[in-house]
Amino acid sequence: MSDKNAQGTAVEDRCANLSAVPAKAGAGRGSLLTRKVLVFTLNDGDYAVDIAQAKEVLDSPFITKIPYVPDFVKGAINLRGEIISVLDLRPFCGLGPSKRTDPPKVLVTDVTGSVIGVLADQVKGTLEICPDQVQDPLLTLDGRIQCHVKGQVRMEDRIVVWLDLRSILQSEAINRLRGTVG
Amino acid sequence: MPIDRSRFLAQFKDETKEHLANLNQGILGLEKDSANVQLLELLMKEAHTVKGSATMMGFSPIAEIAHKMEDGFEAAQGHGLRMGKGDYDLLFECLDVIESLLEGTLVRKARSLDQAYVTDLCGRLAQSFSPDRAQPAPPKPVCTPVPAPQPLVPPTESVRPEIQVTRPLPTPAVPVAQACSPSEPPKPVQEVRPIAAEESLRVEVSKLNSLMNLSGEMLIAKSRLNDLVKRLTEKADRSAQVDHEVGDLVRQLNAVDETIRLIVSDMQDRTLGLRMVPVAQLFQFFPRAMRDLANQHGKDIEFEVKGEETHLDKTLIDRMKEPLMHLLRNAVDHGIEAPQIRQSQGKPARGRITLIAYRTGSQVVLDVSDDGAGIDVDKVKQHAVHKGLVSKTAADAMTADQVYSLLFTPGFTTCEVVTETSGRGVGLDVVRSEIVRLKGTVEIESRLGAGARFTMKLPLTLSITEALVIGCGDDVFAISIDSVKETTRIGLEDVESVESQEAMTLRGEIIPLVRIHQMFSLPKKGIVERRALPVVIVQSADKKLGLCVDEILGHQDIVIKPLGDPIRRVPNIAGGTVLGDGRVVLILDVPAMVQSAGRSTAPRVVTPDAPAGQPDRGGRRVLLAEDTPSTAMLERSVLEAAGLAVVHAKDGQEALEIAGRERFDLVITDVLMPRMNGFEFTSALKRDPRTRAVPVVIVTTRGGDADKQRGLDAGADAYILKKDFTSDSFLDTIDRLLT
Repeated sequence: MSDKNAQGTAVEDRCANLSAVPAKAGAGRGSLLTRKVLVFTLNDGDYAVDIAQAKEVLDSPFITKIPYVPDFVKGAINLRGEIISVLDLRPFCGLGPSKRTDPPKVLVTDVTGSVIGVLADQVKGTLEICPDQVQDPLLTLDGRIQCHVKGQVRMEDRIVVWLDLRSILQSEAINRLRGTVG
Repeated sequence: MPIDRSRFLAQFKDETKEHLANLNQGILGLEKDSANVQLLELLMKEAHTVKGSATMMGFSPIAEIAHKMEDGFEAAQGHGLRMGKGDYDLLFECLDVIESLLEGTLVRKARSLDQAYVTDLCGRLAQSFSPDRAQPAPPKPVCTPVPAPQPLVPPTESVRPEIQVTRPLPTPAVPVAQACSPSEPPKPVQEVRPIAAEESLRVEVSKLNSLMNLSGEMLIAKSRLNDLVKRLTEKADRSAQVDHEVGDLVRQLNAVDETIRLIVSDMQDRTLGLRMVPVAQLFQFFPRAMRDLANQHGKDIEFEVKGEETHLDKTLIDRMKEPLMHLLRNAVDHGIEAPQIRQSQGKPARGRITLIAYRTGSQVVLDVSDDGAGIDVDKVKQHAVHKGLVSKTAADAMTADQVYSLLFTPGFTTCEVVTETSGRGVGLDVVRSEIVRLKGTVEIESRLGAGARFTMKLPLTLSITEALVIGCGDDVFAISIDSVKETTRIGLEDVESVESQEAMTLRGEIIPLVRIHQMFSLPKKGIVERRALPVVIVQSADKKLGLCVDEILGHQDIVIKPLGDPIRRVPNIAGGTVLGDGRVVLILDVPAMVQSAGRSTAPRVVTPDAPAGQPDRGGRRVLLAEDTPSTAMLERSVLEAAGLAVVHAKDGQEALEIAGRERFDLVITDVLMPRMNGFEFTSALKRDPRTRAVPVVIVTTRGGDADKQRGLDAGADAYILKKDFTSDSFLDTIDRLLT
């Protein structure tokens, strides 16, 4: 008898959970179609990428400089025996060079099929965003980078720029690198 | 009960291909020695096996052909049938057809036509090998009549051909085998070994590659372990409060670390060895192809292969097939002249093309040579000028070697008519680029009228190499030890300026210099201009280059890895590797650097060989106590370059014993060594009245005050960091101590 009760409660709990609206930051109607993103900073601005696009985060690895490459190639690092390149996204986000002195973090991604690292000043954590929080990118954003931006997420105290990492890593500048260097 | 044969299809195909290879080799051997009973036995067995398995697998056309071939061999063996050239052609045709059937790619696509072709072939076979045939089957028609196969001219060692006196040739008109007459003296029995060994196992290459990758990872992990254990040991060694247990554990850890180091090295070698296969796998295709080519071009050629048991990495073998084939085609098409022309020059009508494989140190050498027409340097020059590749004045000034290099230019060909096999001008440059991609070199030698030789040198394996590690400012680079000729030090005053390029003179040779930090735009280390520069002399092909670095850090095995996407090719960089401390280090591309560092070859200047500005240290003896062999080698070379005689001990104990027996002017010792460490060794030296007066320098990687103090307490006269071993301050210190 008590089992049935317990079971009933469990079922009720489950129903309650399924119909519950997940808590979100910021205002907006409830919606189940949230996306989880990883938020990091570049030059004091907040940026986000789909959590699926970020495999892991490395804490200040030693970056070996590589000669004769464009500015956005920071160098190479050792990832468990494999050598992967580390790129600086700033030029692709319309930002100037980094002003920080402390060693950067590296976001590791494999969206393009190969493993590539990407610089981040700080990694802030994850965030759930729902579609109605996302706005079109500011018109003031440079046309070159607009194509890499999925949108802007308006938060209580800040705006997070939602980047399409795959788009950046397959952009013309980087493809040119793949084709010929030197 | 229906059997699903498809699972066995791949196996059947592989096996049949092996049998075809054996048959190929056997028939070639038979051509040279048609009465070889052993060979015929073997061929019969092979054909029989093919027949059997083809029947099992439902490939009845193949089975039919194999059956007829078997009959033929049997007839030759038992019923006195003498095979002639036509028969051999037919047999080879059978092999080709079987191969096509195997792949399902017979020329005529429609099955009914396939069958008709096979039936016809079998008919011809039956006719050929019927016991009551009158004479050997007529050979396939060729452009010009070719003399019958000759008994082998005894092989000579030298590949440089001289005019040879041979037996008189038969009249070439009748294309019927006459050499196989019964009155010939019995020929030595030729043993033909099948390619597949008896005790072996088929392994997919992908599995081997995975193993290789793991092996490489293990090497990196091992280095990291070594590095950590060393650092832990140092710390434990220095810490006064290390309790007995911890000290004991550290010692054990060292022992295990050493064991792992040895085992991993061994595993490394053996894993690499797995991928090494005999070049015979590659060479086996050539005799047949050469035979066909020679026929096609109406040339009489003896093709000799040596060194088939030489082992080479499987990948290299696969990739060398095309380049080698091209060189061989060239030799047949352009190298060897037509028989009449050769005879008119007093050469034997039969030309010789030789393919040799052998190993030297860490390289494999593949050598294709012929005794044909050689390379006409003037004709090549003319053609290059005509094609606008080079100006007339430049061409006139070119040495023979430079002219040969022209042959490798894309689009270059001296043939007026493009033949089917070569002369399209796409060949030689592709050969060279493939070889360069394999990190090898190709050299040409030739004598007009006497012949030509193409020598290709390839590294034994692609991925693991020994490297010299150098420091430039805060950056570290690696150089493959194969490219390094020597290391030396020069004073600033030794740097000359030759045609706006910096250079130095080494034993009378002028070597261009390159400053690494300049080449890569790196910040220079330190503000003080160094009085002496360490220089690494590297070589690619025949050219040398001197690389000015800040320090030479050591040498170790490295695994060459590609740089990650999106970086593909970086100028002057051959790839990257991960060092023991986990850092990525770039590997310098010596061939590229040598090529780009000034093309003009400076004239040789003979000057007396006196190192400038070095005090006379001659005859001074140094005892060097160092347990790491590579470090010891380096330190020794630095000391010897400074004019000192060096005796090396592997640990403190051995060093102490040697010091007791022999007299030294200076002792240089490492700190961490088995059996007796540097501090203990120094103390012992200072306690002994015989050795008390000898100055002792302690070398180590840690520069903390605690270490220095400990060294001084032990009685050391000076303390130096490993990284300063190549610096001026070190030599200053030595000079000071030696006076």
